[in-house]
Amino acid sequence: MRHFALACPALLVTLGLTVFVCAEMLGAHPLTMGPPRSVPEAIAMRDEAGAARLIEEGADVRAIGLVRPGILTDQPLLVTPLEAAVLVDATAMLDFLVARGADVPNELACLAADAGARTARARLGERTCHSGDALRGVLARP
Amino acid sequence: MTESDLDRPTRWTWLSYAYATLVVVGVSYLLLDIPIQVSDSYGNLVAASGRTLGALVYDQFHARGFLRPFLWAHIRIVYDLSGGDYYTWFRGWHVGQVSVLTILFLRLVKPRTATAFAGMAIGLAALIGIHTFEGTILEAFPINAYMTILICCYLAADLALGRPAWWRDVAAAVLFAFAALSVESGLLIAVVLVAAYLAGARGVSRWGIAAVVLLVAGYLALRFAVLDVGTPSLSERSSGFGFSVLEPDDLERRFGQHPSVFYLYNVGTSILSVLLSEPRAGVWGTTYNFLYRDELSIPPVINLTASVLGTLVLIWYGWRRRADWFARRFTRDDQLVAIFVAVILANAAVSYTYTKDVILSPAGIFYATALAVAVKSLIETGAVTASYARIAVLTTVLVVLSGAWAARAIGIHIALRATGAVVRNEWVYIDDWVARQGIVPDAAGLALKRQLQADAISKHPMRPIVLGEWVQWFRD
Repeated sequence: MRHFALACPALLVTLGLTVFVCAEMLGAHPLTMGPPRSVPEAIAMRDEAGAARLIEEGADVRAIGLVRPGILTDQPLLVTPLEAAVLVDATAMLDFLVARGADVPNELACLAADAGARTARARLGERTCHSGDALRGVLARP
Repeated sequence: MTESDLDRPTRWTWLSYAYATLVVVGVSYLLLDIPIQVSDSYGNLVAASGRTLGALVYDQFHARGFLRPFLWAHIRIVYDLSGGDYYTWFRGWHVGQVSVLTILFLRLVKPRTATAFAGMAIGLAALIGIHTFEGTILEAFPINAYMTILICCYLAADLALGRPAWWRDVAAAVLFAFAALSVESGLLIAVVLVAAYLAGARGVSRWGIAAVVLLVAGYLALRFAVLDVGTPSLSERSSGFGFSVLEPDDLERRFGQHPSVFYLYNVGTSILSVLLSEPRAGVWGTTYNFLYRDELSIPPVINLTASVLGTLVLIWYGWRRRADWFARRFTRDDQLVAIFVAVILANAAVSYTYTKDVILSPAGIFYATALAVAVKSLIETGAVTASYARIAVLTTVLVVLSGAWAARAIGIHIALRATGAVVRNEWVYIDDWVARQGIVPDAAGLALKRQLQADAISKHPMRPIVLGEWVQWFRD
């Protein structure tokens, strides 16, 4: 019987996974932050399909939404879907949002530069901006 | 334990099946969350649904580079069976395949004692956690042909290790024909059968083996002489070499005059990949990171630890059993180890033009069965030793081995969840992908695209992605 104990790590992993599966099926979300609550948050979580689904269900592609702490930064963020796409450097999502009516403000290219989002920066083009201003503006939102 | 004892289930057998059920439930839950993928699936479904089954199979007999008519028949049959519910059927089929593979693993390992149960649990973690297995569950086309071959390989071993019967000969021949005409690595079925026979297994008789060898000759004649399908050329795709991946032009430039050097490299690195988890697909990535980038993340260290310890246990087993092997006395466990040795050599040999993890998956699953029986043997040997020091060392080695393989199993579960997200995101941009591929779907193809996209995005939304620093302990 003591030999049984040698397999304990493998057994514990299996039992842990079983608990995880049961918890999720019962509606809990162990080890995750749960489903995205807004289009910007879905984009920040790299759940682009979730963002597309929310938009399909009627969410506004221009609306500022909350990104909970722990996803992009340690503090909560209030960003538009386009800003979220820039912050995670998701250019395909940028195009997707623009195709669905999102307006691209001039500051977005500055935000891409501040966030070090290389592909988004290339996509949006160069703008003359004060370094850091655009990112500070996003972070300072109440 | 005698053969008849092995046939009689014990409480450890039932406990093993109960445990394996939990393992399959965990994998299946995450597997069912992955939608039908865009690349290699949507295009295949459009191609498979556009012709009759007969025309589809006939066309595949005249393809260039590959001879896979039964793979396409397999896709078409599941497509027809689905009655339009593609998500449920193709994902369900994949889950069914994982379940069958696990049952066959248990049938081969035959856990009947506490030590065998411990070996089985570690072996099962190796089966799921080894890197060569990833490609069989993280992808589908939309039938994962490699998974089909794994099932055929285990079925062949099960046929060979059973009691002699005429129907096993017939089943072995049919199995070989199906596997060989599904994917090229199906040829390994013959290796499994011949290796088992040479190691004393008589489930498939001499005549059955002769028939399979004849079928191998027939396959080669059909492929190279009659159909002139050939093999993929050196310049057909990029491939790993040394510390990087070489593009087809680079391969042609460096090895065009002496391709045998590149082929030998592929065979050698394929063997090392299964035994040590490094290199992967011909690339020494972990070694490079260690030597030149001064960075070594946790997952490759876990992979290396699990594989090195597992391989040492296998070497120990072979060393301990060498006298009996030279005298041609083989137990069932010996036969499983012998099949592994034969399959890893043959699998590496057939990877000579191109190597990647999933191609080595047959060797990977037999690594898991060999590990299960070798660990059982090691525990039994340790149990009769009088030295406390030896017991302490042995226990430490086995706990580290078990822990490392368990960690690899966690990694594959994390990868399954992440793959669900990646595949869903691909469906958001399906129109761009279709345009890039130059595919012009007809009305049925467009309807299929809309349905699969709705399945991926609206009907089966993504379950939340696992977050946290700890994820990086298990997965790069």
